Amino acid sequence: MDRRHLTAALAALALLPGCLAYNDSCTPLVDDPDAVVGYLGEEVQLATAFTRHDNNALGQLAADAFLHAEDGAAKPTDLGIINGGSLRDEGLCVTRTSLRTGPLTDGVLHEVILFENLVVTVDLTEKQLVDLFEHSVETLALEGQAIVSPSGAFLHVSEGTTLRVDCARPAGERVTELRVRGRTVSIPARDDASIRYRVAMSTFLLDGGDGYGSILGNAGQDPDRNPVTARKLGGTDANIAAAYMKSTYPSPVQALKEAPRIVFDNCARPARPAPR
Amino acid sequence: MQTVLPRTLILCAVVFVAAPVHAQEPALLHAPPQRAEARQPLQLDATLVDGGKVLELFVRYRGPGEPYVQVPMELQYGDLYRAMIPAEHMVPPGVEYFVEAAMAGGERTPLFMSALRPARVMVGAQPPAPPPVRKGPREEPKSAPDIDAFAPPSGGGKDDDAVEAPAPPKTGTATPSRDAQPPSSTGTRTQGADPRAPSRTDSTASRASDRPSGTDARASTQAGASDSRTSNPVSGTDARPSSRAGSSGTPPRANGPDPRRDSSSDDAMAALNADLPPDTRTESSRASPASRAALDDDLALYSAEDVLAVTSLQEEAVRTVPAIGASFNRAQMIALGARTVADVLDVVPGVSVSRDVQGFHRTAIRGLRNDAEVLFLLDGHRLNNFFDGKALMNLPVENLERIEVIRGPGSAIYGAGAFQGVVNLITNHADGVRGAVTTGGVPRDDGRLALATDGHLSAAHTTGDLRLFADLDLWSQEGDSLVIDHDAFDDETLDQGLRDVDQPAGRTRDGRFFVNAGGGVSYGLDSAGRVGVSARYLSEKRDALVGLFDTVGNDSQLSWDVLLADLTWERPLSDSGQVRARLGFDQQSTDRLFQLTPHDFRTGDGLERLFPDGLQEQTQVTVRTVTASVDADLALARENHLTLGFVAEQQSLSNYDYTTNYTLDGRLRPSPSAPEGLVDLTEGAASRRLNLGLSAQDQWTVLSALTLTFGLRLDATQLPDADAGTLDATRMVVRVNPRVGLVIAASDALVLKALYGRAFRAPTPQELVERIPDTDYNQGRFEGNPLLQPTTVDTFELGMDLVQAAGDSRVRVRANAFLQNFASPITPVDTSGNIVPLRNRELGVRVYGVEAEARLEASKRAVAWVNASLSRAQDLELPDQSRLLTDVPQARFNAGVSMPLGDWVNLDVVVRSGAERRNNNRSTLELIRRYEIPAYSLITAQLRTEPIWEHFEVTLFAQNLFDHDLRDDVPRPDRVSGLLPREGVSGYLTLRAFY
Repeated sequence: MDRRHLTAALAALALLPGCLAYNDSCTPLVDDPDAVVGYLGEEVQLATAFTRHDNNALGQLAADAFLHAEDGAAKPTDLGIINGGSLRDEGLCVTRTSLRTGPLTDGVLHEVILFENLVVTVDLTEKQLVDLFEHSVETLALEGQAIVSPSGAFLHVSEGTTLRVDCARPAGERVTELRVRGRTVSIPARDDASIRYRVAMSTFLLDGGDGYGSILGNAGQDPDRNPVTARKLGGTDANIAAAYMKSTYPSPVQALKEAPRIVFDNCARPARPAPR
Repeated sequence: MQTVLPRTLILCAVVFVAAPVHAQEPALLHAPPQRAEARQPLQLDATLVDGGKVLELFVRYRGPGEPYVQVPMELQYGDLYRAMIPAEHMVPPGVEYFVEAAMAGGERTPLFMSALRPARVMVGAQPPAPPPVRKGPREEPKSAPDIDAFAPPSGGGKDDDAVEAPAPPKTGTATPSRDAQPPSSTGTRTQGADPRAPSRTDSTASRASDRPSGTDARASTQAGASDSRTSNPVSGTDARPSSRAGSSGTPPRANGPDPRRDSSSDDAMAALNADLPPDTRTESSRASPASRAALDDDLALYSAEDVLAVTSLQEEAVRTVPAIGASFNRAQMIALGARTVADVLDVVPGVSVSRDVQGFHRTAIRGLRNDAEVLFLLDGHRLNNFFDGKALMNLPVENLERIEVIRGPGSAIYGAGAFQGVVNLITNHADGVRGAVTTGGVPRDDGRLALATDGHLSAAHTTGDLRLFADLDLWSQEGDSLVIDHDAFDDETLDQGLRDVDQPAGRTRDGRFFVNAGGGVSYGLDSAGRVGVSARYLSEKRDALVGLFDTVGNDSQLSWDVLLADLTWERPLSDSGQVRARLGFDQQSTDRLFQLTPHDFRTGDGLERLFPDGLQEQTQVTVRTVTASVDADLALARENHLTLGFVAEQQSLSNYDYTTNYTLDGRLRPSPSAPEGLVDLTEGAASRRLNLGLSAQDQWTVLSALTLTFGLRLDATQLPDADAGTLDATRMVVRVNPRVGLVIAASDALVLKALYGRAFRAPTPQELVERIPDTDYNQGRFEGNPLLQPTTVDTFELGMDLVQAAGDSRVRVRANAFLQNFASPITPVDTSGNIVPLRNRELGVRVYGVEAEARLEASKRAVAWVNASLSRAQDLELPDQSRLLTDVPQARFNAGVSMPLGDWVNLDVVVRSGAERRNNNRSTLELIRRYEIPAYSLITAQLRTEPIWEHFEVTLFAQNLFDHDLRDDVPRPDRVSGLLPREGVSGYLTLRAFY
């Protein structure tokens, strides 16, 4: 009798580890992860110094995609923004420090633009817009300093928008020049609530993520600001970026490349690895 | 098990159906002696009835802690058999024996008692003192089923009959007369709340007087049996008794059994009672188990039953309660090498204890971990804090008599908070003086020994109707100090020159000072019941193990003061029921100061951005609870127990202060104050809560082997009304929580259970309304959500409990399977990286699994046990590939062995192991905050003396003997990348004294 019990107990013990189960962290986030969504014209660095302290091709792609999320609406969108913290290098299974030149798959794009935030287009005042960018650059490191723990709040901007930052100036006064759709925005901002810019961004920012809450207030809920949530492709940032990439950078000839939209004066710059 | 179960069920059914036929099975008429002389051979006589198939009879007996020895019973003449237990085995405190038959078919069948439940004979002098009535952990289970069940195949009735009846007149040698009952028995029972007590003596007397007239022992026996059974409704379904009564054809005994006796016990109970020494013969489970007499300790040769009081008002054997439970008595706690409650809980199957960065011990039950969902009771008084649901539960075990753990919702009696499980801590109020000192510590990696010392002193005394107790625990430890390499401010502190690159971010701190002082007095008012007053004060001051969230803050200080006071009244009812009333008050004050950054931390340039003491935040919370409860346990009939309860509880958050020394934009405040825009939580609707609970639980023994439990609990809880729009609006949320239990004692050895229960819990005020200022340092933390709904759980459980005698050892095997469906559970899931409001998971969480334990007792000192549990928790809101919740070990395996090393020393070894843990994948953020904590095994080993000069005990033990580097999870593993290190090897010496 006892021997039978013992055998049963041992068998149960031997089976125990087989009963353990863990989530498959490597399961792709999209149905067809290997589908090519477009081409990269150059290597894209994903370390935080490149996504949060410099222009970044993928950040610009996403911002452009947001800009065009509501194409055809009565009032055109002026600019799209995405915070650097939305671009991740962790990946599902492996950390990727960079994306190689060439085809970019849907799976990888979704791992880089990992958070499934919705895209909302909303009216902001000029003051809000300028404050947004001041907050974006207030922690950038001065030239000569090491870039440590750059803030994920750093914003990438869409085409047609340029920004000039002087890191030698105190926080809150670092933006020296801002042009939206080719028009210069007054710095400091005019205190006129009727001057509106239509900005597309993720719900993360609009909900106050990365310290933007005090600047954006309740813009996401204010009917006066006409917030519109993107509907196409489920409305998520990665899907919208993937679709935009497919239509805009479909071949190695028309490949995605970084543009110098933010100009850094007296700021530390990440050291780019030598091209391979 | 799959083959065993159906077989036993079939056997069970066959026994019921075929009982009348089996009446012709052999039976043995035998009256066991209660007391015998030391060093004198003991003669045992018995009459065999219907023994056609019996080839041989044996008496198997054992002394204290010895294996069974067998002697044959010789046929004297007719059907009278006799055996002698040799003089050398007749030593105090007693011997146990049973009679076994070798059948013609070759099998062996116990005819009188059994290996698991032998008859006891006390040997030697009279007991030193009349032990009070109680149902301690070592006593036989109260429930009738498994007692009656030991009857087949000989027929339970015949056994009772045999012992109830006088010995066959021919023998006259059946040892000391029953009339010569030790005074202890009567003293005991009259003192206790046992209404049967006097009747028992009466019935003994009646039988004694019956003896001369008993010309035909068998006839009178069976008649006696029949009339005891006719009053038992069970006989309506059980054909045996009536058939036998008919066959005997004799009228009831002239004197008849005492009617009072009949009204309070059934024959199965009588079977047990008749064969146990009177001291242990009690069903009065209400009396304090703490009042155990030394005599009984000696007599409890084997640790018989562990009991639970938490499922009903009465203590019941774990194996028969309508719940999946475990109970640890003092001896077991000591054998575990446990110092605190957490050490004990961690070896309960299905339970895992981990620590968090703030140093709290967190109890996970069946794969889920939520502080507010495990109800902790200290002597029945809730310990969970109203504000956040946490409980100051990590008491030293020295003061505890017993720890009871129920996985699953338990019983209808306990409502609020009894959700994932219930842990009841029962302090030791046994008469006497007890003291213990433990000293030792943890060798730190700098070579120093971090001292840890705790002391315990308690005394209790009973004089007449007055009972007093007082106890004190003191605990002081320096605690281990382990390296935390990285935290959220790695880059900043390096950049600001606050530390070098090769220096770690900090070290853990685990200093703790703890006081537990309690006292009470109770007075018996004769017929008016017993009134008691008790008070307890718990105070803890300790360091945060790491800090608040994702940074090391060594200056953090956490203090927690708890005051509990109770006024109780209890009164036994005439029909073996009882009524209790309790008025309770408690106040808990917590003061948690967290240092978020190192000293001289800068949030920017300028003097107002320099923090000489680091950024700090402090939360001071005071909550109060007043409880009034009345419950009654009514015996509607002998086989039907109804427990009714009503509880009204007013909880309030009387103080909430949240202060920081920094502003929202990171500037130093001249003095700590509340952050801008923080609402006063003590004003809102969530700050007060009235709970009304109405419970009814009926335990109905339908057949002797089948007990049904129906429970219903109605809870009305006052919660904020988010829809009303105003802050003060409240609504009463009423929930109905049914419970159904089916306990089948399929045989003496096997008990099966099928249980269903629903429980609910309301969100805590913290979960509802706590606000966290939106600063860079708080991102990723959780805040309250006034829209939270209460959560419910439906639990289905199937359990079995098997006791087997294997050779001379006793083996207990327990196993159960469970399925729990949590509807709208409250779970913190970081979905945005900001401050995230808590919310209900709308599609719920499902957990299922199995738990099993086995315990082998070769003797009182030689014990081995093992338990294993496996659970799978799934968050149903997620796609298949990320559903599993794996932050708690899915599988646990614990084992222990205690063995004697010579006459004086015991060796105990305990192994705790857990499976690998990984981060949950409920949100993208959880997905990328990856961690893996490998499987672990921790070994505790100790050398423990037997009592020295009867008053002292010395234990030398080491926890985590091989210094396994166990770690627990942290909220931000991407920042605190090395996770949370747990205490390494530690060694202690304990001296216990009891008088």
